[in-house]
Amino acid sequence: MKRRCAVLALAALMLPLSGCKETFDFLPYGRELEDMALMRTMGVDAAEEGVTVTTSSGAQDQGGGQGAGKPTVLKQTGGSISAACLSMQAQGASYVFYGHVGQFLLGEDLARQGVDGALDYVLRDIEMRLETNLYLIRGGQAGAAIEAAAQVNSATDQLESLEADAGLLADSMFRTVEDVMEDLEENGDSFAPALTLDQESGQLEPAGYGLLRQGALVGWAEDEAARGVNLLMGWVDADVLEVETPSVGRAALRVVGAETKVRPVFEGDTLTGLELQCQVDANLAEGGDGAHLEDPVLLGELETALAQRSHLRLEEAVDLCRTLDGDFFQLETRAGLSVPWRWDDIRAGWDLSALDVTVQVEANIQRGYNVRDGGD
Amino acid sequence: MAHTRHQRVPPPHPRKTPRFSGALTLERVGEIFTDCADYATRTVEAGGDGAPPITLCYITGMVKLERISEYILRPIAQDETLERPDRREVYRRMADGALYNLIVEERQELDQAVNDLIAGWCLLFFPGESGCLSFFVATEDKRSVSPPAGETVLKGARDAFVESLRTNTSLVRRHLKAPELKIKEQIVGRQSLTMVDVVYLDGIANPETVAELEKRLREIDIDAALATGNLEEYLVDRTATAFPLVQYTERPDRFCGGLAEGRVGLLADGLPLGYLMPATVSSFLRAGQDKSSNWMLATTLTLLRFLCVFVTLFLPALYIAMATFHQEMIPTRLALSMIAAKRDVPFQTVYEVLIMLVAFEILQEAGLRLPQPVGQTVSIIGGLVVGQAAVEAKIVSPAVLIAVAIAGIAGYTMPSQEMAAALRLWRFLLALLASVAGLFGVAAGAAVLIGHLASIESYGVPYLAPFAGGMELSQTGRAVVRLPLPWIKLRERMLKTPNRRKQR
Repeated sequence: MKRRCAVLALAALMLPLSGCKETFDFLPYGRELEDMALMRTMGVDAAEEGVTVTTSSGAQDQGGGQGAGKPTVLKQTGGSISAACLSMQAQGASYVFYGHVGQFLLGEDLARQGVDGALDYVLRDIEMRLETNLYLIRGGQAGAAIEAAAQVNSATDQLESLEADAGLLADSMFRTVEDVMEDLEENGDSFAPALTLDQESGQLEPAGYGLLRQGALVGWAEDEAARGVNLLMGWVDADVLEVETPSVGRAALRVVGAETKVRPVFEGDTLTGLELQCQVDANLAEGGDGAHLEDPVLLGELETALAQRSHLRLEEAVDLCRTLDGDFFQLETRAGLSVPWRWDDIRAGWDLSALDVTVQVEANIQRGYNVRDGGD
Repeated sequence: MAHTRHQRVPPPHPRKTPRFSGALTLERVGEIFTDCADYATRTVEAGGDGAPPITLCYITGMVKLERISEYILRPIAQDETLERPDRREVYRRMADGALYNLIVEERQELDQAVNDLIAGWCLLFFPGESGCLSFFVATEDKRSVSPPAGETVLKGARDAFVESLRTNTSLVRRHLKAPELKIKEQIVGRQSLTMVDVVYLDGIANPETVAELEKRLREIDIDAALATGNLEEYLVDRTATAFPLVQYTERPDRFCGGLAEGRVGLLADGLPLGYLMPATVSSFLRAGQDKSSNWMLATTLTLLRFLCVFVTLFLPALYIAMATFHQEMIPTRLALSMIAAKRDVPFQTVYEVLIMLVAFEILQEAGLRLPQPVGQTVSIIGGLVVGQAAVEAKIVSPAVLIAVAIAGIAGYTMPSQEMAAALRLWRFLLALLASVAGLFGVAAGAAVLIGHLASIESYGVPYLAPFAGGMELSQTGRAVVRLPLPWIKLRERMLKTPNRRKQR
């Protein structure tokens, strides 16, 4: 018995020598890392034939201390993203690998037609990741943005810098494909950060948010409205507000925290309104020599100014929802989560344009960084 | 046509029992030790004038000559009561204590007398007597007790076992002075006649383990028990495994610690180490130093050792799997760095890793075989110079060198070199499986490894105990967490000790 088992094991070991490749089709197919072109940014645009896909590898180290080389940019048009990506494999000796795509850009034209197809590709493709950041290119095409950025450094490097500095940029935070797909699955509406291309410098710059209704781009949230979105979502890592006060004139407040609760208002079983209760915290960053937070008058003035600006921003964000008839920020879900036992009532009475939305802001100035005051 | 298979029958063993038969006479003993340069005889006049001389025989080098001179020859020459003409009476007086030697036996069988001679006794033959007197005068020349060479001691006893069995048992007795310490002796090896002692604490060690060990010792029928493997491979439950199934230590304090836990020990003459049975995976990951260290430090180091087991086993395999099959698992910046470093390397990743693993083994083997200063030089030249040159010459990439070096160094954290060697063997296997099927291969290899370990037992104790074998979670925790010693009231359940409580 032992001898038979040994013979069988030996025969199994000898199988690779048979030359029958099909015998081992069940095994995964290996590729050497150095024979791959790792694509890190992918842009998709609408085209007559279907879609145009542009990918960029980002600036790559040449090895041997030669420094970074120019990014590899590949572009193909096809009936689908998969077809375009597949045809890219023929553009060089290396295997084009999409497993490291970290930024997924959609041109405005394609976004207005609908982002579902592109996001579905990310969901189904075995190499792409749902954690990929999603961006909408405002007023242009994703491919053109990637190509223009490649003339400077690369879209990958620029977007990675944006992500790294997200805490320092108040008007646009990043969202992943997974985040947007979850929203779309929930109620068909969502939002994604927008970018514009500075044609002269070849730089991609944040431009607020694109608003998606039923999976298609319907508008943009920019400036104060974009900051209103950040307040709604609690993304205010480093927002700086300049306010005018009667006591010290112009002062700068650094917003350090915000939390917005969405509460439904009922009359009986009928949903009649929404309350947005926002608590925003800020520190006094600049205010001149006379600005001491121990002065209750100044403190009150600053908190009032902060509350007014935050109120304005939130209202602008909510107005966009009403104007464009979309629940881009999942207000319905958030209201439902605050009183889950009345979820059905909320669902039944949800019509944002008919609801009375009130915004309440509670502003706190926490500290002033004034060493001469002996603390804080 | 009928095929006739000629089955090979091993020839009968040439040694018969007893080895030498016949009458016990001086002539017969001399005949047996013909052509033995170290066999010596001395005739002594005793019993007055005209009486035939008595003859003393011994093997030089095995006896202490001063003892013979002082304790045997001097009384014979000076004691007047031994001058009587009645040789029978003189013989009886010598057997009853007229000679000063501490141990004296009367021998009637040739086989027994010959064995005595070899063991360092001397024989005194009286003409006309059917037997002889055998005096224990063995030399005690041996290596002195010195610090252990293979087990570093930072805080603890610095004595180590030596090659002399009696010295080793005395070292154990000095650590464990309880009368319950039992030492049962057997002779192993037809030619070496090696004394092997089973050591245990009566009432604490599992009697079944003691009986099983004695049974296995009795069943050993080999020519010589000279090397450790001569005993180990006969004492383990299974030889078809790379993993050690008995634990050994050079340190008597650690050996005695094992006995106090309820394990059974084994000491063999000629081997400067003691074995402890049963042994489990967790016992090989515990260092002797652990009980001397602060319990938090010891726990941290134990956890680190468990982590190192995984690192040394899986790191090269995971590197191959990720670099060849699952590139998406590598962080992007690391992947880009690896691509840049590997751009001009001509070998595939799997060959790079295998070359480095083999080179690592060769370096280690070379370092072990050479004298220590030369070995260190080889390690430095091999590890630093050749490694650096190989990277600069683009023969291997730096990432592979780092992965293999980390795996190798992680293996050195194992307190047991045999466990480390077993992990090294499996590391090769897992690397090969990873090169064939990526993570699927690694997972399959890991499953086979766990299955293999789960199928092994050491003297009735599952090898994976207390992680497997129906042990409680608290027992499992004790294998990883070294609690403060006052908290450990009971001995390990898996050792099946008749007395579990070890302190109030």
